Amino acid sequence: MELRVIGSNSAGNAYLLKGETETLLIECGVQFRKIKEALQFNLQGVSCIVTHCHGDHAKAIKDVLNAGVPVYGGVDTFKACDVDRHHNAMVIRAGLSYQIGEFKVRPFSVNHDVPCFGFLIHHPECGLTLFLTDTYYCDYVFPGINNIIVECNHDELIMEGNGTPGFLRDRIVQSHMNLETCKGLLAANDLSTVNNIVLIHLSDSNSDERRFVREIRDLTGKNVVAASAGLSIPFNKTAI
Amino acid sequence: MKTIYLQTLSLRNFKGITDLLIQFGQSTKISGANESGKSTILSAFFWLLTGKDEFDRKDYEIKNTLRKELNAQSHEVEGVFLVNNRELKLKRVYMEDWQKPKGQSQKVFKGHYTEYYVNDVPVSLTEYQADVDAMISPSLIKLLTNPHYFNSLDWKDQRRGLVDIAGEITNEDIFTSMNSKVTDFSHLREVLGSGKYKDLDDYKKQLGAKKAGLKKDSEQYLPRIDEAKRGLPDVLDWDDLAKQIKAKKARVEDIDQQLADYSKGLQEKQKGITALNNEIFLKNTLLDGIRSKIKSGLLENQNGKTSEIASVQNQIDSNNREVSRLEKEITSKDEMVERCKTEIERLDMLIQGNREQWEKINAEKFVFDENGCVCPSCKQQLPVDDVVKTKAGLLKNFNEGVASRKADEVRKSDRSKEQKAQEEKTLQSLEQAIEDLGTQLKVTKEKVPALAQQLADIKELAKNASSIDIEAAVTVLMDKNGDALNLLDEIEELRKLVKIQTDALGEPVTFEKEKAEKATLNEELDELKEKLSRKATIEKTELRIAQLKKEESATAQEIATIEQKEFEIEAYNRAKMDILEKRVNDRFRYVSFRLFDQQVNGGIADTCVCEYKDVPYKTLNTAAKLLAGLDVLNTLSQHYEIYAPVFCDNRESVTFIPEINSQIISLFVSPADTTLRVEAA
Repeated sequence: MELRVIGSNSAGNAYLLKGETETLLIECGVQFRKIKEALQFNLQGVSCIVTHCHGDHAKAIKDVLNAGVPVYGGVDTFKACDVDRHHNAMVIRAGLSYQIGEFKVRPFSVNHDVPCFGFLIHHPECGLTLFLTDTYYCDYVFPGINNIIVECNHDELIMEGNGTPGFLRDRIVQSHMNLETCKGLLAANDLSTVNNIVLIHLSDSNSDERRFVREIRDLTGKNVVAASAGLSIPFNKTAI
Repeated sequence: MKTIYLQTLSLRNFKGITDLLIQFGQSTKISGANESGKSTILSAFFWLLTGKDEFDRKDYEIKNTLRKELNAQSHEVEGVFLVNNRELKLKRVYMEDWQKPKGQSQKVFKGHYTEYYVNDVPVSLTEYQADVDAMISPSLIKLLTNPHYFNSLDWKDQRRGLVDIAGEITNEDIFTSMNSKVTDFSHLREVLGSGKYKDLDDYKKQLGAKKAGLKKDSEQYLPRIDEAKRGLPDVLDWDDLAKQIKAKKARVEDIDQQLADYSKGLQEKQKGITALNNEIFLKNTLLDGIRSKIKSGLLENQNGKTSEIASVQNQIDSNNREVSRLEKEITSKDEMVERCKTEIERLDMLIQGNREQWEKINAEKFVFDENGCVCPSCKQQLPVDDVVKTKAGLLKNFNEGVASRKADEVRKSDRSKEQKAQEEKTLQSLEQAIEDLGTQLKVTKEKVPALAQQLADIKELAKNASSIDIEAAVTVLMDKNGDALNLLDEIEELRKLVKIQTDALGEPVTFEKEKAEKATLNEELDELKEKLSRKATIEKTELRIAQLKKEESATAQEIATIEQKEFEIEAYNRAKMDILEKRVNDRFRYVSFRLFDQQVNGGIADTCVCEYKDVPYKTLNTAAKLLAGLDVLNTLSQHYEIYAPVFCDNRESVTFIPEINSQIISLFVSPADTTLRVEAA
């Protein structure tokens, strides 16, 4: 399996888990054209899962739906995007498991300023993958994961140092995961079967990509990469 | 490489300059205050080569506007060029054309004409132009002599010029420079190799049109699927429905069986009764036959009276008609009698007249006046003999006359008498006829009362007949009819038998409860079946939705496939641009050209912006503009392999100009120099 990053910041998020025959699009917060490019213009066997309704995660949701690609998301997400009656919108509920082709997806609720999911995704090729974004902390632990895609949005120190306005700072702190929380989450979990850790949704102004990667790598000893548009890495249970 | 070097330029009576000869060097500085004629030198140079000024205006304002008396003379510009060290002397002379028309002493202005000289030899315009073209093509004159000219062109023209400079870029050049994760460009290679399209733009347009059509198609699916979904009934527990239907159907069948069994048993038992009933029916039929026969007899009788009344009435009617006919006839005969009698009276009067006339004639006497016997000619008394003769003659005449007139009267009376006799005969026969008719009338009239009486009698009878109640009469008659009475007895017997046998059957079972239950069950079944039929509707609709979704995905894929081709084209164009930009910009020392714009939607659009130190030409200051212009001009000169004299106007505002290979003529504004000052180096 291959992980392709189409976009990963507050301007737009979209990730592809590209298997042999089928592809899972996680988030669709970029121009649909960009998604199609990453899919090499092949829409066969593509499904999409969405965490929440914000533009940087669901901008292209209507286009994706109209292209006949089924989108799985929470009912609140669909309502907020005004697509709750669309024939390709598949409502999923936290705590239940859904089989989407060979992918098995289990949404769970996370803490954001709108209803938002995190995902546990299982596929024979990539094993069990955690996808977690737009939450200021996570109170679950996940046994037996093989890959982690997690938000590491900002560092409070950087934010204090660069004069981010108070209201924005408050919003960021209450809705996005910072480096310390991310580290805490990783430390709380058993990472013995983890292969890759992908840091996503890094803030343009309040993060330091190289330092974040280094610190997480130092903490976990895993293959750590920061997501940026165009990145493509092998994404399997093991590196071999 | 061709070098064009301007050695001298002489102006005579050209615009504001009366006479000027300039000797040029490799670099020449011409200084002068405003209106001292610097721009005129520029105009003269262009006019000499093209017949137009630097603004492309033909023969424009060549004549002196201040000292108009000079304009009758020729306006001349002569230039001596060294073209690759070979001298070429060009002269253009502009003249006013004055002609003396026949019989007039004054010359008249007819317009202008131009004379051309090459190396002092007068030539035609065509020859002159050919020599100029051989030196430098007219399309290049401004490009290679005016540093600002290229940047004043429309960007599309600039672009074409630059692409020309860059030379051809082959597909291989482009493909080798490209690599993409998204595509291997196999499709684009195929398209370019096939030569099916005029150019890529053409192909791109076709793709765009196709995509627009597909996009329009794709918009229909959402509303259509929505509509189908709206029509979906609620999902019910189909198995449970089917079970319910099955149970209810079974119960209905039970009831039906029960009813059938009962009626079958009943039928068996009722066979004897049915036979008796049949017999009763037969006898009743016979009885009805007798009854209807009696009834029809009575009815016939009643109908006979009616026809009798009619016939008596007919007789009365015809009798009445006869009476009035006879009366009419008698009246007309009476009238005829009257007429006869009047005629007879008239004839009697005629006869009487004849009689009286005859008597009058008869009483006439002969009178002879003897004195009256004179000669008619001499009026003498006639002789006696003659008188006697005459008298005798006259008497004879007189008597003959009387006789004949009397005979006339007799004849007339005879004719009247004859007519009278005829009339009297007619009269007689008429009177006889009247009498006969009278008798007849009397007889006929006498019949009337008798007939009236007869009619009254019959009517009375008939009235009595119709007032009988036929049904009652029939009943009475039936009671007296032996056959009928027998039949009635037999029927009575049979009925008794039937009753005995029916009583033996006992009370009939009506199955009211079961029938009611069956009706209710059937209603329930209809409802259930209707519900179950929704399953088929749902399945059909879901099939339809699935089909539409399939089509939706297929259309989306088609659009994506087209977008992939568009992506390839764009990548190709971008690569081509990159190569082009690089090649173009490699040719310039100071400036660089931006040849495409990145658009918001991710596409690229052609443009052409000359930049110096990343500042677009349009916003550069004067010095930088000249620097950029000279850089471009130098590159163009190298490309076209012609170095031509370059005129730099407003040179005073620029401190530094780059080294170029062309001859430079700089025009400086210097208020101190009221007349032109030329410094050739």
